[in-house]
Amino acid sequence: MARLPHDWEKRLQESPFADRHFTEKLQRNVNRRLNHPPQRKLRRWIYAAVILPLVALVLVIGYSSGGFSSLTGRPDHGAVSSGENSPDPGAAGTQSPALSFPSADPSGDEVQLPLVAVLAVPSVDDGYPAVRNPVPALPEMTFPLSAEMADQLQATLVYGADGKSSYLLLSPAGWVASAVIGANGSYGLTFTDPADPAQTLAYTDTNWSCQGCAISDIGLYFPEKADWAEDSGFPVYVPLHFKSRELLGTGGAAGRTVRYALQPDKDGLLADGAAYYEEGSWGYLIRRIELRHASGIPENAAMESILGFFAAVHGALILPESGPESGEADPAPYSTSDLLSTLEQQG
Amino acid sequence: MSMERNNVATMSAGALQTLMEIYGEDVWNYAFFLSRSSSAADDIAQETFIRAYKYMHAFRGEASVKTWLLRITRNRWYTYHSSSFMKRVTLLAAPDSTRTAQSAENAYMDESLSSEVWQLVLRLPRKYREILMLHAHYEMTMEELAHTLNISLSAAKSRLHRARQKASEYWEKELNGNG
Repeated sequence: MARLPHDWEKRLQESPFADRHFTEKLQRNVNRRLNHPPQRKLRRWIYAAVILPLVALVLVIGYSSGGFSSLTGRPDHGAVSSGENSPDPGAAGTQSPALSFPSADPSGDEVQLPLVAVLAVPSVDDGYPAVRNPVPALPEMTFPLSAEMADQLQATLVYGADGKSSYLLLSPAGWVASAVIGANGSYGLTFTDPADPAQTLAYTDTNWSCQGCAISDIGLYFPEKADWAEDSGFPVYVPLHFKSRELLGTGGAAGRTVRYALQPDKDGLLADGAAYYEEGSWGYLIRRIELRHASGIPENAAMESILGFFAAVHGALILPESGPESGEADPAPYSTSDLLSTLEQQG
Repeated sequence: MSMERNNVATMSAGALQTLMEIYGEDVWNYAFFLSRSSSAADDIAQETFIRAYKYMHAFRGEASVKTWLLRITRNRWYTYHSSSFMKRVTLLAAPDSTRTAQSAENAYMDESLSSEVWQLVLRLPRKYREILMLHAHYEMTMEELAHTLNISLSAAKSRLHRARQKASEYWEKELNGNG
């Protein structure tokens, strides 16, 4: 079998092409563009002259037909929301009954975490009324927590207005949650520390959609898959600078789960996270959680529990999809009080 | 180096012309090997020199003029590649990326290459053909490679090693395929 010529790299010192490609015409183009920059101001005026009457027309039609009722504050029973998670006062972050976790200490009592309900709304309103769906039943928790976590963590139930994408996560106690469902079906949640908004906990799940996002993220967080990602057409352009990185196993789901820490960013914030991916015959998904925090905040034990819960259930704890109780959709919008009362009934 | 720096810092239209004549091919070739498209290379090369002219004050003389221009080229390619237009095209083209038939342009450019070694390099994945080109053709040092590619020194060494391995694999694979 012939091998590469031993001096093959020397041959690369020659020009790859015999012909010139950066021609005089291209050079003239450069000079012309420098001497005659595009007439942006004139172009702006032209655009303004065309667009402003159109905007005015849209506004007139919108207001006269009531299409902007959600923006003017009038109640609109048809709209899911205007893109916020808590269309009703007190929806997101409202304290709910506690959720019990087994104690990490075999002789200890159950650990009770406050349960916070967050309503996730589609980022794109499909124009149909919100459907009253039953709150999914919460399974018995099996992830063990130490007793001191009762004061440091909260359990957050994200409940999709569409009855889908309901899931449960752990987060630092008191952090404010904001959840959204993307137009392509992916979803995510961001917690913000009210005392220091730069500190966040972000969770995302591509949910088998956006294959490009999933493949490039798999290549990013699992560098051993970077070549595969590139061969799939989604190369990693800017690799992450891991401070530490550990695959949680060599096979199965653990082999597709990684814990990592990144070098401090320009603001000095640390990032600790975990990622998990799946490959199916229909595509790929990746779930990620990342805590950006100042050094030592929150306590390491709390962070270990948050990321440990993610690693244990390979993402957030996905709750079974719930549909309308009757065969037909109830056009009444789902209210926060309904959500909380149902949670209370379920204990 | 100091003369180069002086020439750039006081770049006039005439100096720009000289710069294009001296480094135009280097910039175009690098852009072509990044994008594998002559039309993209045309755009990127022009943008590179426009950018160099506008931002000549950013040249601090820490690298040679050629290295500075190649870094601008890489940034311009990255912007070009990340543009929404390119993304749409790439997404549409992605399922077809494993095809064996080459486009007419690719076939023409492939045949225009001066040697079969260059043809081999052009077939490698982007990150390997790039580092081979920067090292073997533009004679960048490991430190310059790491800086240009925005990776650590050890990562640059590792990538270059992998690139050589890949080149060897591709060479043998193609011989087997043709033979």
